[in-house]
Amino acid sequence: MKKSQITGRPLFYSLIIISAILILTVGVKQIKESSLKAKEIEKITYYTTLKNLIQKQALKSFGKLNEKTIMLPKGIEKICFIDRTKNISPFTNCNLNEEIKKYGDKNIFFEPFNKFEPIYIENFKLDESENPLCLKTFRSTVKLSLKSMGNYTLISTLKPSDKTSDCIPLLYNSPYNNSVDIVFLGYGYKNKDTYRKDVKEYIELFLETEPFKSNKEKINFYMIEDFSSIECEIKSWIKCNEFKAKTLASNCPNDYIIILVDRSKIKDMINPIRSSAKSNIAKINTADKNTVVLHEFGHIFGNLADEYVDEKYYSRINFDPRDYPNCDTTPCSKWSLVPNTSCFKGCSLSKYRRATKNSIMRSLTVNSFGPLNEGVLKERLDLYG
Amino acid sequence: MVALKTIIKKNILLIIGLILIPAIHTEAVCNKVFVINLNYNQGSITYKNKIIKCGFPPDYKIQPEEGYRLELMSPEDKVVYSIKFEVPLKAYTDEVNSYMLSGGLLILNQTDFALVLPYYENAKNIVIYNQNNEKILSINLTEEKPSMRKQSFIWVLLILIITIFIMLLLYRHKKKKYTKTTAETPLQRYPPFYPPNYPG
Repeated sequence: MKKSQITGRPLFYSLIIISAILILTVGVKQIKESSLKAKEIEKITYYTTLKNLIQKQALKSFGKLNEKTIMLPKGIEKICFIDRTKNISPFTNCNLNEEIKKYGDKNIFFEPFNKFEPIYIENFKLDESENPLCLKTFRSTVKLSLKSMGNYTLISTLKPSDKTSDCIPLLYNSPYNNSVDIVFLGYGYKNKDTYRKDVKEYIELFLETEPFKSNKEKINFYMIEDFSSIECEIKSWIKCNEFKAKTLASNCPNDYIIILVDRSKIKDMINPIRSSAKSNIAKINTADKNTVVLHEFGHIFGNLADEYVDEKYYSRINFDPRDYPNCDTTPCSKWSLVPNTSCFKGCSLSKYRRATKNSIMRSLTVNSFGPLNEGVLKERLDLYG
Repeated sequence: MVALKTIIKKNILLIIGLILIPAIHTEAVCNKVFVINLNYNQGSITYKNKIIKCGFPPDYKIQPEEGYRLELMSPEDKVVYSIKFEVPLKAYTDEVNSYMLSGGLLILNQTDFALVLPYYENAKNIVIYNQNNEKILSINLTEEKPSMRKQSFIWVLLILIITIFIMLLLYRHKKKKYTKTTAETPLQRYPPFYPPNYPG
């Protein structure tokens, strides 16, 4: 064999290998392309069915309701309808906001957004309270409620549990970048209805109590229903993973976070746990009297100290009343100009003084913060709105 | 020979190109936030991890007069966003006994804490200063993107190495076989055949 033949061999083999890789790559690409084409045809079929259904429903007699189960292409996790003639909530699906901006002429979006192109179907509208309407799919199907409104179809769902929302605004009074945004999360709830009921009760309590009552236009309340990612440790007091809680809470505007920890009263009588407050997060034991939420919020929002006396706790730490607006030393010069205040003995430690005989920061027998604390909280509320 | 080399070169480039296509991926930009996970322990702050997600940052209207300062820096070392914050070392724990409260404040000397910050596309790093204005922590925000590219290059490199290795093996195997065949004489390979009437 010639020398040139020997040196040419590795090149020959490498050429074979490279050609094999190329053929393989091109082959795989071709298979993928043809399967993609098949999927594209499948998609078109599904979308045409949906389009026909919506348009046919619009032609039916006014008010006629129809519940339909629609088939969707495989892989779609959520379908989001938007009505561009009405206000679109930015809180329903954070990632959808950018898609809406990106595809200005489309009104039906599919999640995962990066895998499915949005489409446009005319002749449908949504109720303003559910715009966008995002519904989760079940085995590539989704249930829709279609109501004929004369010349268009009103799309909704008969099964509210199918609706998904990253963040549910419960009381939206002013733009979120200029208001106190309080977001509720849950922990330990087995029943979502109980959680919703609890959140509603706590919000009502806020709105009944001064200074929040007269400044409600500066406060927005939100709720996150899917709180499965939260991690809390229930020992003598409630401790939650701050990173996970804040990550989840960031689905909503989140100046302050309230985590409701579901506890039965009986269980709590046997093994009492403490509500707590740290950073901008209040963790509430729902077995406690509900005004405890105001007490904890007083800590995180107003930097208010405890006005009850617990020598055992407070003598161990270097408690300094100068760090808090509601505790002072005699003669209580901090609030000497605040009407209806006095200089009562006991504020965290018995040697310090408080402004009112009783307030939410002292005990839960009253539903008022007292004139001094109300003023402190109002001052902070005035930074908004 | 030159033509063969060019073909090989072209093929290799094509393969690299085909491998790299899926790695070039553009992601939609929306209302994003950085969620930074930090740890405080006896005066020092360490970085644990972070995520970038779609979401809303707090507006930080209430900030402490004195405290730590966090700055988001641009590649030109300009401050694009800044806040003051306190490490949450105060934990209020309140026991409710019917309507009466007891318990109190715990002062922690170590804690994990998190900050939600607005996302800036051009942010290069996050810098944290203590109360004395001393830089105590810098978090690189650009490390994620190159690591993704690195991964795809590792892939290409791996494929190339394997191909070269296979080529080398084949070459060695063939070379061995060739030297073996040239070393052997035809007599060695085939035992001599003597006809039955061969003398001796």
